[in-house]
Amino acid sequence: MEELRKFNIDGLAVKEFLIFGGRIGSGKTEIAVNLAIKIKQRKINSILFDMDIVKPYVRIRDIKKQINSYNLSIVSPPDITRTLDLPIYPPYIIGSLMEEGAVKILDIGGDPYGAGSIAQFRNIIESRSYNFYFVINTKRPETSTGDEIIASLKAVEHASRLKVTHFILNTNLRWETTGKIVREGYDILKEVSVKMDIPIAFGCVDKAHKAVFDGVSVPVLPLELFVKPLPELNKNSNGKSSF
Amino acid sequence: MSEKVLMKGAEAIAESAIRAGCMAFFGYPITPQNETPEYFSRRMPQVGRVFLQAESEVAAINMVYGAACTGTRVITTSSSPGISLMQEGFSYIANSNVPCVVVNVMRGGPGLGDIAPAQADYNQATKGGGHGDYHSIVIAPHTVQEAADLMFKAFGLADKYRIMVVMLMDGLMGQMMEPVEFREWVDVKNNKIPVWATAGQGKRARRNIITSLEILAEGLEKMDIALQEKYTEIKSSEVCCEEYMMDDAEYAITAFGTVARISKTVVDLARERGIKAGLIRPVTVWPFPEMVFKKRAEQVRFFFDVEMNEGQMLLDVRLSVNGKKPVYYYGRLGGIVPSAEEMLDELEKLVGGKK
Repeated sequence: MEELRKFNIDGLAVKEFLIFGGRIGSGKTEIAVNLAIKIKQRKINSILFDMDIVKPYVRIRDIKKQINSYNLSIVSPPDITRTLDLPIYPPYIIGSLMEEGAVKILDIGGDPYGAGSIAQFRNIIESRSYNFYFVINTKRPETSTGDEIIASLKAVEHASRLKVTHFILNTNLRWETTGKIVREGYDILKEVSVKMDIPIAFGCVDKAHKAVFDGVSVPVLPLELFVKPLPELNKNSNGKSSF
Repeated sequence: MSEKVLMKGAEAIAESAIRAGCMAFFGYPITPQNETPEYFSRRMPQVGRVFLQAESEVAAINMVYGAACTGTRVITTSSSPGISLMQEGFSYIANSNVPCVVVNVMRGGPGLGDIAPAQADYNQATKGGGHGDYHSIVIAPHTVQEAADLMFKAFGLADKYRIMVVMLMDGLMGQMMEPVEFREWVDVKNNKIPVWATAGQGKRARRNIITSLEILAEGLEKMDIALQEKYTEIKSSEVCCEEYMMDDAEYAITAFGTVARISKTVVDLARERGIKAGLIRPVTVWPFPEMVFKKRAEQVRFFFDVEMNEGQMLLDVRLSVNGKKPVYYYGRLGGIVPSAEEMLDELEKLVGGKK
């Protein structure tokens, strides 16, 4: 069995802004949180920004309890807005974005809507250094083929007024993910990567199922999953109802 | 079946409706189901069908009513406050005997409430909501896959009985992502206009008229009785219920939708602790699976009803059990989803006290 290619966290933290964008439901939040934890563990000064104003649930502010023990510095909208539908950023966010010397990890909302909301901070981001990671799950609608990926990439770049610098391969079918599914996802993304001249920074996988990345030649970030709104059903209980 | 993809419930119902031959969507955005109209807005033009964002829910449901009168497969989706606005239209649709599908992705109420998942529109969906002696068929999926499958069934039932079918979901069902595969597309190329539809007189001698109006009380009573006969037929042939681990169960948990999903985990955990629990999960909450409860009342020591509301299905359970066995209730309100652990705690307390 080929060893999974080692994931190098220090190589990531050289930029001041690490932005995670992509289609809605591509896995941005899990990846941003996991990276923030890894960076924190390296004792690198860092701030995690919850900038998702698109989704109503399963944002960083919804999983604060689960990640509390990691002592991350998190900037997110006030708790009172958690169950309100207010697509606004708090006024203190700009001060935090301008803070010097910290690696700033931005979990932004999905699709052009989410990406468009950070365009207002473009001047700050561009005046420093940034990587813009575009997270792809080829098993999600609108990013299942090369053409679809390029179309959503362009839409997100247009809305955010920022250039995507890297892809992240996050192809998965949750608990039904197989090696074949990951390899197919890799092949699709690899082709786009070559065509658009945007490298695949790394791949992600539920740390309980690392083996599905065997034979895929990208560094792999095993994920601790925090966003689990409901318990998984055991195989016997996924009973279908019949009329 | 299609290749499996990863979808939110809110996306899966839209894709499934399109595959089931839904030709038109009318609606108005509301959280937490905006992914559904957004999905329709992208996909419907791709397949040459209608997506229209109306100026309000009131307008949307009347557009649905109009399209339904032509025998077109039509859908609207909304969340609790939006569904409240549509009630007048629902009542007109019921007495006009036209088919349509309505999805309610429930959120916390009453009033403006919040955007968290809830199940507090059970009474509204199953006992009318609008005015008059009417019912809609109400189905409550508990996984994304089931929602996708039941969407085909929903359109089938709507057409078969010329009735409104409500898919009762909640915010969590809409937002959670699961692997899902879709059934083959319904071929809409050879769609025939039903004989009752108001889509042109054609070669008929008289034009069709669809109305919920009947000025004479005797005439209206006849219309009402005809509706009740239809409901009786639906009650006798379209009840759907899933039982999980009920064969040897001493305690029956009962729940629908998201809570039923969590209840399966509770059943597993309870059994690990030596408590013989099972689950009765109504899939149709109207018609309600009364006979299942009646039968299981002979077997179990008690029923334990869990809901994300103040105990709305509880009344249907109690009516079905008819006093034969105790029916206990546990619920969370305002948009809080009960955890498997807290439900298990409650169950253990009841078992401990009643052994």
